[in-house]
Amino acid sequence: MSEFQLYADEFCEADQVDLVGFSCGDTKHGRYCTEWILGPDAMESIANYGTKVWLFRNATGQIVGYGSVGTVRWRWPLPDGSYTSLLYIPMLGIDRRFQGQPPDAQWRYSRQIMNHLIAEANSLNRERKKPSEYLLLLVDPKNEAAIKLYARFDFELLPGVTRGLGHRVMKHRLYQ
Amino acid sequence: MSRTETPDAPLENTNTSLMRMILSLHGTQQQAFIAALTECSDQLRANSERLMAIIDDPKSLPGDKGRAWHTLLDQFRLLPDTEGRYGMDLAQSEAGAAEKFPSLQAEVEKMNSQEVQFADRLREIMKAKHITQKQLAERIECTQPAISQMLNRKCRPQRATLEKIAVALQVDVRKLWPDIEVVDYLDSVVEFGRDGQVMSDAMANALRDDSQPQSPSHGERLPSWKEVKQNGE
Repeated sequence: MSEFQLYADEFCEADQVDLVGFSCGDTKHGRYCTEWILGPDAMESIANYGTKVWLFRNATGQIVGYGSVGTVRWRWPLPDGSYTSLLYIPMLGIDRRFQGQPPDAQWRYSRQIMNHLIAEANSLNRERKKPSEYLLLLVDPKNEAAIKLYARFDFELLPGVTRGLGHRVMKHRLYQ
Repeated sequence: MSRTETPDAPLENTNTSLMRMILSLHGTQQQAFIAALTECSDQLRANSERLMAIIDDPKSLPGDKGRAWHTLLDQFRLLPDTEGRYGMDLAQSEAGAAEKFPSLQAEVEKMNSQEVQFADRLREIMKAKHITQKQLAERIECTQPAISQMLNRKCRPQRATLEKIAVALQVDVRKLWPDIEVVDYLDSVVEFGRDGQVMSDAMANALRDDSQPQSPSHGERLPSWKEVKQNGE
């Protein structure tokens, strides 16, 4: 097994001490990724919406990053108005010390994390009577690095769809 | 799993880095540390060893080493407050360390979530303006427990609530939360996850458009670090 192998465990309150010093960097994107996991948003999302959040550690136990998968029930536009259950990635982040690491693309931390989240989304889908066709995520259109990363995992920007202050939505058609 | 060691063989499993750290302490601090380590859980000891690895690692940044030292002493409650009391809470302890060591101030600020800093700022402004939680709750038309939750770091206010608080306290919203863009993005994430909303036509069209092929990737689930540690692998 590579020294760059990551490990994933579901995030719980007892893990918060391990996040001391965790930072996704000083860019705007880095700051909100940091804040989501250090502030109450992650725990609120787990408690209120059943979101699954994982901490990703390296072999020495250092936290490399985190990721999440949630479900949300939206309604189709009226007059249909019926509900559809969607899978989405609320947030993911990588500590600044591990961004772009390791040089070997095969073991790149972002790749391992994305693969884990897609596997978990597929697993959640298999448990459902009516599987969700897509895995969605929200992205800041100025965060080109993130858009490129998601595109490598078959995420596409939804044309004409913006949320909040101009954030874009991407979709990945899950393997059925 | 919690475990208590017998005093006869208290530290036999303690790694050398941790032992070196213990030896570097003096007098009562060393005694207190050994006593705490003897009685602590396996998890706390494992945490200590991880922190020691950061302190020992020549590649660790000075700020990281400082934080690791501080956390290590703090988790065993070996950092007394100004009145000599042990066992203060982490937030107080961080602030105290930053006061004693100004070079740590920036690191401590980075370490804190913005929401912690918001709670501190709100508390200070309320104190300066002699406004109680109940009064603030009335002014922004919410409940006193909601204000209490914000002050106790149990929830993050949304942008709209921040603006109401700013008006009620007659301060600029950025005085409460300087990095307001972060709040906006986090609000977007919360809003995206809100059940029952009617999707836009553009969103519906994009979801009904099945021209995107299924991804060939099934993903790959990662192993559990906790299980690996538990099995001693």
